Amino acid sequence: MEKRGMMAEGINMMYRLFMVTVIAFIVFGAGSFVYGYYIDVRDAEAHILARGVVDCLAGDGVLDLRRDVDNMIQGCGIVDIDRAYVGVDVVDVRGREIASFSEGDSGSLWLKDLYGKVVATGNALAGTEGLGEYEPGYYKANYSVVVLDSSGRFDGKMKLEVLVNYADE
Amino acid sequence: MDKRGSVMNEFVVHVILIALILAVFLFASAERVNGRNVMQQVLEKQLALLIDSAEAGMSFEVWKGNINGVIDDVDIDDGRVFVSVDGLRSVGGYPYFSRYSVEVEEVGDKFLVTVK
Repeated sequence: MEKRGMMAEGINMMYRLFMVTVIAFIVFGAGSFVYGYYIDVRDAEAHILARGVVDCLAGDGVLDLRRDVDNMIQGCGIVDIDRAYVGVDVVDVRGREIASFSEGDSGSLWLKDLYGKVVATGNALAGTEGLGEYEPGYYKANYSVVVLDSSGRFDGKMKLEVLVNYADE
Repeated sequence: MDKRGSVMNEFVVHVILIALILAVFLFASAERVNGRNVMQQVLEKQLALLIDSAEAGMSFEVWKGNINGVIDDVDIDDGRVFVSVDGLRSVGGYPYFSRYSVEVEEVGDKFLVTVK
């Protein structure tokens, strides 16, 4: 009888400790939610990265497509490119595509599109600021350049699109 | 007498265990409430953006006595910036994109970050 009584008391004690732990975690979680804050600098990173790519590819205003186009962005030596996507489209003055190349995780584009669609269709994201952490940083710009390729030298435009993903911290 | 003694023992053990759990919880909460992690985030991201914007040959100083707290250490490792502030060590840091080599040197009451 004594043994069963002790076991029951042990179970009772473990139950109380478990409840105290659960309550402590709930309060701690609430505190983390209230006092935690995510500072988003990815749009600024995308802008800076775009400028770095342009300086690398056409620093003097001339874009030379006679070299290995597929590895042009990789040749710029950008660290941690897996966290970003850089897409370049080169067109002539009539808008005809001359070359197109990219580097990084192009799958992030669908995530950017998804955020754009959800916001456009209504207030689906209202009150869910936490989800904003996962919206990628984005920058898009066009640059007038002189293009050099096998056919010669002509005026063109470099359309740059940069996306920066959430970083594990 | 035996029963009163055993009830007292049980009560004391309960109180000690609950006090331990609450102590751990309070320490963890205090760290969150005083906002050191936010200050650390600000410093790491500011430095990462400065490094991304810098060109070869540039350098900048980071004073230890900062508006965001006292900086204990600044470290660059494997493409990430780590800043320890007010005793809070950095775990994951923040990555940067710069293709240049970056070095940090502690000089007196500041850290000198050089981009080469």
